[in-house]
Amino acid sequence: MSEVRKQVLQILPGLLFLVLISLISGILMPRFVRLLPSSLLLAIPTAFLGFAETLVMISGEVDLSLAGSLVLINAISISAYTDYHINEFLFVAIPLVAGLIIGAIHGLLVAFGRLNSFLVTAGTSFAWSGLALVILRQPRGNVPLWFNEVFSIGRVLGVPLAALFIVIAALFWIFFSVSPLALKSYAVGSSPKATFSFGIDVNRIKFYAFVLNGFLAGIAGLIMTGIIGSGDPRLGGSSTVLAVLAALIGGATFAGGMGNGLGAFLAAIGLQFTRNLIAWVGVAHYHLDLFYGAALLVLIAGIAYLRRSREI
Amino acid sequence: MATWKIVNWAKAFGQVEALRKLSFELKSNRIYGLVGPNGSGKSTFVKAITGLVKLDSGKLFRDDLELSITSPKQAWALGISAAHQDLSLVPNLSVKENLTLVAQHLASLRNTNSASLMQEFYDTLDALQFPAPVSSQVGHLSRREQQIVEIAKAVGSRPSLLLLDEPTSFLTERDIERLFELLNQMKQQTTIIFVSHRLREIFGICDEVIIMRDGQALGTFNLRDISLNEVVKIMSGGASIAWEPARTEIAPSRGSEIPYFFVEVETRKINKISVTIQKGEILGIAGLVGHGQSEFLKAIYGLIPSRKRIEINGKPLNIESPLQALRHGIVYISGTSSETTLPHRSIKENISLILNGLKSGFSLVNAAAEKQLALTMVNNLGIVCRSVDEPLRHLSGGNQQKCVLARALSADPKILLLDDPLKGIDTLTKAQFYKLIAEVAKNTAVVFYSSDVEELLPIASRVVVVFEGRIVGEFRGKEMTKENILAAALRGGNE
Amino acid sequence: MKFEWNKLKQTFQVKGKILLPFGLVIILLLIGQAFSPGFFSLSHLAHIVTLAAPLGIMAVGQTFVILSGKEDVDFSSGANASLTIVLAALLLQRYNHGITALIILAVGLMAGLVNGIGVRVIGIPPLIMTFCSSMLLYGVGQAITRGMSIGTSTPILTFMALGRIAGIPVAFLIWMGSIILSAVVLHKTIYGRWLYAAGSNPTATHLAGISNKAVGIVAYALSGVLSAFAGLLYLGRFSIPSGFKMADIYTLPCVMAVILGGTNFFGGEGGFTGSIGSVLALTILDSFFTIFNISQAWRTVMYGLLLVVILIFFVRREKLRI
Repeated sequence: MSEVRKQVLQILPGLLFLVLISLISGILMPRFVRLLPSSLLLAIPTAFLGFAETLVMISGEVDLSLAGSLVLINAISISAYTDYHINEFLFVAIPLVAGLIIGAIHGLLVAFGRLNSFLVTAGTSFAWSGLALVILRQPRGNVPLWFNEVFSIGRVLGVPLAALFIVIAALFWIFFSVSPLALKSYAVGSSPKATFSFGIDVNRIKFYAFVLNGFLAGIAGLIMTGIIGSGDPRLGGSSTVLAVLAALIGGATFAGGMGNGLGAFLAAIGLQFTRNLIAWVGVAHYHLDLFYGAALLVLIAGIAYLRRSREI
Repeated sequence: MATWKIVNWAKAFGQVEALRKLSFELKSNRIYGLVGPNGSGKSTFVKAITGLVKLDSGKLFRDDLELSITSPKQAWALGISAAHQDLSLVPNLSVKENLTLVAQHLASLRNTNSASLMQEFYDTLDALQFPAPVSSQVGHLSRREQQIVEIAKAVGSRPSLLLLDEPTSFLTERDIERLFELLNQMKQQTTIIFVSHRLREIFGICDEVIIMRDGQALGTFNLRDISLNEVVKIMSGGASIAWEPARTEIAPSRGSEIPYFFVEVETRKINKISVTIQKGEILGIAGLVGHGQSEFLKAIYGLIPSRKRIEINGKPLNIESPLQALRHGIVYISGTSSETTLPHRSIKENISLILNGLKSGFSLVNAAAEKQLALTMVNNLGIVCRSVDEPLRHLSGGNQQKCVLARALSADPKILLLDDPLKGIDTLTKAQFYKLIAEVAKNTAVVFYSSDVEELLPIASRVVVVFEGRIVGEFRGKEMTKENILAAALRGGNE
Repeated sequence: MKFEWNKLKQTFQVKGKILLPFGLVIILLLIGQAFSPGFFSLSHLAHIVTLAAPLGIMAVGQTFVILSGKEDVDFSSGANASLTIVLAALLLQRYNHGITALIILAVGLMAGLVNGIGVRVIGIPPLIMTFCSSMLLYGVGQAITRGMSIGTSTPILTFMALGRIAGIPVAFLIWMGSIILSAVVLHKTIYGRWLYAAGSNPTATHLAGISNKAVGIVAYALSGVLSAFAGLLYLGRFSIPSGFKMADIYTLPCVMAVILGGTNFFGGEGGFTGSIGSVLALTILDSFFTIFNISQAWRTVMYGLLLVVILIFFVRREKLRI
């Protein structure tokens, strides 16, 4: 079936990238394999962000607020539990709802407000990270006990968490890519005018893309919160650029109409492993960001350049 | 089955009035032809009735019930579908995916399942003998194949009002026969509007014809009661053009003379086109749209990669970019205003654009000279404006195009390449352009491509017809008639 | 009658675009006067202008970039200035002002060129490219300082940033000087014509033989140089470089100021005049935050929201159905 073949081809770059980095890491870092479960888990939030970014880029827009959204979701979740003593069994729902709301706000601004998504999400990025700081003020707070335990143990019902989340991501992508929404999203991203002439509500599709994006960011926030077990307003950092880069490796373009969420998911894990590798190689803390920034730039440039030559 | 009434539709894009109190009626079980010169508003009408363009004012009635169309979604819901002139398909997706999008949408509107609708689409594609697999990416198809898909999308949706805007531009004779068969079958359930430049086809398939000019409908005529010539006459405004510019009849050059301009081009689309022009000649290029004419001009100008030989006065030139072309005195303008105009910049800046491109970035602006040049051009070309400091978008479409021409002229061209420059310009301004171009040609050579043969006839010294990337005919003098040219364009000069 | 109305609206819009930010300045000054008497006084205005000058210079560079094309914007201005702050402080310990200035401007130029090449030659969207290069610039700053604070401002720099000549802030003179020089480039050179044309319609300029790539690269280079220059003023003001991200908070206001100042984000229209007013307005707004003791966190939120509001009024996609 050519549909399956198409999917495999799209996932390949991200998968190969991950495998390559893992191999290199495995060779250079002696404890790589032993530490794999936890380093995988640490990489999962970014992976979901890469997935989220892909959905938005498929429909022709961009979300540059992911780092800020992640921090805010973390802050809201921690605050809701620590300050407002929300029922601990509802705890899991909070980051997801927060993510949905953030996504909806972006969707309203970009899809119905017709604002430039680059700039708007750059702006909301500041707003969200600032809000996170306002809510938390400093690293603090805690999560429900049962939640903490799950993440400390690293397993649920015997299944390693990382594996569980990877399966969830895969399922999510499968369900999405066979849905009518996916076809419409790709169409909207490729040629909004032609899709509009088909009678499809282009704005609504873009709105849904942002809402789903927000939901996935919520999942990322949920996992991140579980990992660190508290709130930290200094989180985020280069998450946005990582997510964009992962989406690019997964096949997305800034022009829209292309991309694979699962490919981006795997690519993001690879990127996190790359960061670990650079840190391990002994690059001093002060040089880390420089190297990493340069590496990211080179990768983005390379992809942009390759894409361009292919288009012409 | 339904009667439609269009009442006083008006739509302006900035200064350009595309539709002005457009009114006519459509009765059921008929195929209507919609004809009119370039810029008469035909495509705007199609876009308006399919919800792509919002009317400034006007009413629509179906069976005497007033409707308003606020979006394409609604147009589809009302049973209106169209095959647009600029094909509205998603190039990155396959044929199947494109049609699925429409089918899914229609299925929810009509409360059926999309599979049966898809089957209708496939049946239509079969009826038109679509040659490629439906899994092919639309962007990879030939223009002919794309056009078949566009038609199938409109026809296969079984609409109650079907519009076809220049549906035959890329089709072969047999494709057109099959299309007409389909349309005749559909006539009983669908009202059909067939928009086209090709009057022969209109007379071949339509029952009645609506003639448009300058945004209005001049009347609806039964094709049994009117002749082709009469239609042409009404379209072009009754009286033939009142002026007679001196058409430069250049004697064909004898082999020993060095031609003023010689060019031979080969690109992906162009097999090989080579022309030789003398100074003072206006070479017209005709043929169906998309057969390489525009490509030819762009290749000469260095806009697209090509294998070519260019010589001016026997001296070979190397042209790989517009800047190099300009340095050799070759100037290019097109009729697509979105490619050439700087709407928010002043008239004088627009006019000086090419001259500025030839200067060094470090050099200073001579404001006085810039203004003087603009004033001179405004005077000589009859540009209607209040001051040369006004933004270009304040001017009418025809005047804006005059500024573009002024831009080309200010560069003192040795060779002037005109790529369909009069598209969408009103008839009065066109007449002025003919005079201007004829005047300019006295000191240069002009290569003039137009998608409308009528524009070439008044001033061209001779006309070559291009078909599928090569020249299939050349006409001059008494032979240079619309019929001959169209015949060569349609049949490739072979029959 | 319908047409007359449109023409009236257009004239008002053009003049109004430039007057708006100045109007805002007056309103903000009045509000400030209500809460803190002496706000709307010459001496306080001089103080505001001193604070605004570096941002104003960055805005001039930003204007070049935004004018040059449909999506072009420079989000590395703040990073550039931040690097200058630490780099200049370091260099001044060893070299004189002349050499330091030369090196700083060269670094700024290079940063700008990298941006320009990334955007125009390789094809990376401007926001992503300039964001990445800002990461690089911060990285360099971080590597240089290794977390320590090295060096300090010099009397000359401090005078440039905070001093007065005959009551007029030197910084203001420098700001206006930059504007005059840049205005000469923009309105009196052929490059300026190219810039406006390329921003209006890159296809048309390409057809006219103008290199959009060159125009864009030069614009980013100019922004790099001006942002680096602004960094010198910041060093003069802050005296001690504390960290490698000192000018980070000015990146967003820099972009906002240009848009608010009447320059069309999509390119081809605009200038420096309006940015004078909008930079002043944003600086006054920032001083409000200080007066009302608004935390850094809330400030970030407000700037983010302000950007969204500005976008709603100034930068909207065209409708699908025209």
